[in-house]
Amino acid sequence: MNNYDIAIVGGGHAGIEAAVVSAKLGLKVALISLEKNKIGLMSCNPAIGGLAKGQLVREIDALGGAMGKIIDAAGIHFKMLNTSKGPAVQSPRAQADRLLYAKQAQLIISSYSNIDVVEDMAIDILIHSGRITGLGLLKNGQLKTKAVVLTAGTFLNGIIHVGTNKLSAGRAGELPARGLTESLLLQGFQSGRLKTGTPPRIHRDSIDYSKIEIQEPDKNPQPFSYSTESIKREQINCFITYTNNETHEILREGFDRSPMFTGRIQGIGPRYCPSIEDKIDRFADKSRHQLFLEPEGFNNNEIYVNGFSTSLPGDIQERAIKTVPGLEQAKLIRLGYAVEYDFFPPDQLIHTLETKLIENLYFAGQINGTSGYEEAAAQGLIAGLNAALKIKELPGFELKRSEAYIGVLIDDLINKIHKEPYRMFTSRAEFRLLLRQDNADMRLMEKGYELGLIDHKTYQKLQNKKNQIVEIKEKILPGKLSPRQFVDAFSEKSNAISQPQSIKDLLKRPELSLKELMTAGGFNNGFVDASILEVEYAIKYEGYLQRQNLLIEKFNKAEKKLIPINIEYKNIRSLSTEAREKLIKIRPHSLGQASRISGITPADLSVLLIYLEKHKSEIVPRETSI
Amino acid sequence: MFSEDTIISTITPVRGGSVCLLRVSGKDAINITCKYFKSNSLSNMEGGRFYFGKFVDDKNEVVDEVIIYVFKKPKSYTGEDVIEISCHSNIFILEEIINLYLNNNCRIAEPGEFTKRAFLNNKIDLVQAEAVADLIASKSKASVKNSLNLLEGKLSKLINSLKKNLIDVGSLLELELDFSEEDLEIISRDKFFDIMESSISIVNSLLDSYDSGRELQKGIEILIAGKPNVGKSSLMNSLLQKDRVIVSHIAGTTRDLIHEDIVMDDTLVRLIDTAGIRFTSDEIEAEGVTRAKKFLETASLILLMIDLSSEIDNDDLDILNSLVHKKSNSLIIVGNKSDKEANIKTEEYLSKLEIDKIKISAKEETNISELKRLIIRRIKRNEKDLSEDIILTNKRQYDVLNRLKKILNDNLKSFKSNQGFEFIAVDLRLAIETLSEITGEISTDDILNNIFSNFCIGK
Ligand SMILES: Nc1nc2c(ncn2[C@@H]2O[C@H](COP(=O)(O)OP(=O)(O)OP(=O)(O)O)[C@@H](O)[C@H]2O)c(=O)[nH]1
Ligand SMILES: [Mg+2]
Repeated sequence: MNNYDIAIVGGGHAGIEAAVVSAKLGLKVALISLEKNKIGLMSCNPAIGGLAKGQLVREIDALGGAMGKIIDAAGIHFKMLNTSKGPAVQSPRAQADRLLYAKQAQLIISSYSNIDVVEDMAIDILIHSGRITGLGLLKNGQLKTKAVVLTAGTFLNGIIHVGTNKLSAGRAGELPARGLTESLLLQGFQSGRLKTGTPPRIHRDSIDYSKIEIQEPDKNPQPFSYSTESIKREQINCFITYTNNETHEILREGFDRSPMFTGRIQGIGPRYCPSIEDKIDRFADKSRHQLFLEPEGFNNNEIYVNGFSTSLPGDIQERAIKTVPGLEQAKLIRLGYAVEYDFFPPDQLIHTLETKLIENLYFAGQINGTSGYEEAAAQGLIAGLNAALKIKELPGFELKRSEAYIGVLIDDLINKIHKEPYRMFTSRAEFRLLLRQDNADMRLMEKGYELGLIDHKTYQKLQNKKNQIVEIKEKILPGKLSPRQFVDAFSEKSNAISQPQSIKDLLKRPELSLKELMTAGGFNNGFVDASILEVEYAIKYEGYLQRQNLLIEKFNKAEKKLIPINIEYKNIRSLSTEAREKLIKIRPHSLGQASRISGITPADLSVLLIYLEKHKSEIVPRETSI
Repeated sequence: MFSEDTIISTITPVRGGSVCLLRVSGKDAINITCKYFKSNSLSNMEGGRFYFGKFVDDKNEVVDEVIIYVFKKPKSYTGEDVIEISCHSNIFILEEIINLYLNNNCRIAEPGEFTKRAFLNNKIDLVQAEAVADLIASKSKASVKNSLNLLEGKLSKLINSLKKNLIDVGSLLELELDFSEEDLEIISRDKFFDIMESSISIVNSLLDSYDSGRELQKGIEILIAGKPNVGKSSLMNSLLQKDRVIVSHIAGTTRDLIHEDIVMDDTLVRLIDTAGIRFTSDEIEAEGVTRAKKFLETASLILLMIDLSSEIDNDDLDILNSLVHKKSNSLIIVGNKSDKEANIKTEEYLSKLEIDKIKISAKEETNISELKRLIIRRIKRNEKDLSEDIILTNKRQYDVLNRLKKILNDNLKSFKSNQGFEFIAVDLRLAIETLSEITGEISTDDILNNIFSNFCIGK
């Protein structure tokens, strides 16, 4: 077997990003996947993006990741969400053609000559003096590598449940990965069990479309990737229907055979993505639940019944689904199921996603207890990037909470206690107003370019945008509208002005947009919407943005109080026992991080601060990119 | 924790009788002091010396005569500008002075914070630093215990419903922002107004209850109550050993609350004379009656006066009935005018009551020392630890609630001006962070948990 720089275990969304980023940095990559043609397969809902997740995809793209480009090529139903609200909480979402998505992902992987896809199963990790040296593979024996990124998804000791039937599998029809958990446990890692579910798929020709609502895609689909000019693919509709009391009664008949309710499933499932049986059990007074019927592609007969995730017995699933309007004749192609899998509580990682126990071993994706393709991809990118940087002996790459949702994601993962699979929400980002989907390029692309992850053409686009922003600010905003011009354009919606007024002042009126004002004043020559939006936002919400920036300053100050690696928490007598245990386990790199660990009180922080000041001279400062 | 704001706290224990030292440290220490300190001597505050003068409030009324020590940075304990105020160790005075500082952008020092600042400014050495850490740890444990103690009963119920309200508003906001794709009912802005308004009124009633003193453990307040003309003001004067209050045979002489602080057996006590409680058409007197009634709820001890020489009537019984729910150890019935011939019916009635009672003559000053002893026994039994922690913990909570009130009002304004939810959420986060200074951490997870348990989320 060959020698590699990096081996990536798993060809899911995390694995793809990890492989692409390390390949871009010129390393020799082995992508280990059970089956080559399953790389990039969407095992659950065939959609990318959504609230908060859309922001993640845009950030991944601004750092040169693959996800945005893949979905732009494979998307069949694009929709910008929350368009009635402000730019900070809008997010792109797109339905994908499952086959096209996987094909596109595989195309990207095969475009890198330095990525070898190895069809095999990793069953063991090889370690020499605390550092990873290779993997044991089921078929090919040992593989030597300098770093490993583990992105095994739901495959580690995966068990699929349908009613009382139980089956070892990573997802429907695929083998689970065995042995890896056990070899990690031997090294001292802790693992837990989580659960997730998926709904049945039905044949698209068995639906009575006259009985269901149509959900149309956006007329003007917005691409995810900053490098995509426009979405060219034909767009198709999705559909909405509802369950009813009859559906619920039938489902209840199966409760005594439910693996969830009978305790056969031990893993904890996400509350934000409950099974249908959970929904009718917990919200018994709700007489109907919404179901989205989502086509899985152009040449694909499967329809994903989003909202009907279940692990009830097959006969119940079939009878229940037929009570739903439009689905009376539904033909089930695949049953819904629940899958239980191993995960490793992510407090065993540092910000680069390297494990604390074994050097050059990185974890990314569902193995860290997250849910969702986007969360997985973001981690894959960060883990792969850091593995590559470490091999090249370059400083690690971390993002702050104030810079990106990716920063929030990883910081939450390693500091907080998680009782269920972690999903991103915009409310998790305290600096939400600044972390918009449309400004991910402004926030991150410069970093991506410096690392060599962004092509020149895309970078040029960013420079253009920046130049335009300066131009609008300096030349357009001071420009004035005459009372005449103003009345002509806005007599309907805004009070007239008596003196000429600058666009900047007029922009303070909530009813007026910068674009309209520029048009009314004859100033709009060739500015792109993204540049206009950036300026408009900065002016209109100046007060709030200033306050967020003040908070960021305070936040950064605490982040800069570094805690040395060799600190001995057991010597700090005044710390509470709980705080001491937490600090020993998490090993925060700064006082700021320490303040975010669950269970650390302000008094603990004061004690820590004093200890640090006292021992200033004796301690070794740690290397950090922050 | 990395702020350089101005802080204040007592630095000697607060005990009756003697002198108490307050310390103010930080960049505004001198400014604020200049605003309230009036002295005949030099007007510019030189470092390294002390000044004698009067401490006045915003209305220029004298709070206390004090001595002020000025230390300019870095020549001070903390290394910052420091003012130390030596005033009378009277809880009421201390509170007033502290309040004046709090109203001027100053806050109560955290446990050990002066020493921490001293350490961070290199004013104390390494060995001492370890001790500071210990101090902070132990003091903050004590003060947590303290605030928990203080958060018993009604107060903690209010705080908890406030917390619930804010989490609810947060949930409704985030529901709109993070879960707008779900099949959920749209929540009208009115619903938000309702919750916000109820939150503001909770904060107001919390502030009121702090103001009215019981929960604030203000120290001991003794209320002299009773219907008009029973001799309340006379008793006040004889307890004080001076003619503080006007005494006359005209019923309704005292119209407002009149208070005076005295030390009884080493314990500081505030005596309050009230308007006689009765139905009256005189507006001013009526207001006095309302205030007196409010104090009936909160006073540590009530001396209910009854004229032994006249027949007990409905006015007497009304007051008595309104007090029976009080704990028996916070009520003493004082039968007055024992020098006159006793009314049989009144005597009979009183003898049946199972409440401590004493016969005195305020006019002749008979049995007054007996009454004093009775009072002292009572207050010793009731006396809570008057340590500085309690005042400061209370003041801190009060301070937090005052800030919260302002934030909530701003919040309501943004709601009403149709500001986007993502912006309102920024203000609400501030409100929640502020409240968590009293309740302990309230996190985003609390909001998400609330959403998941109350709304059917998830496709
Ligand atoms: N004989 C006698 N007269 C008393 C005694 N105490 C008070 N008085 C008289 O009762 C009258 C009312 O006394 P105050 O002390 O003004 O009574 P008060 O309860 O304060 O009355 P209001 O302020 O009007 O509610 C005065 O004329 C007093 O001199 C007492 O012990 N014996
Ligand atoms: Mg009187």
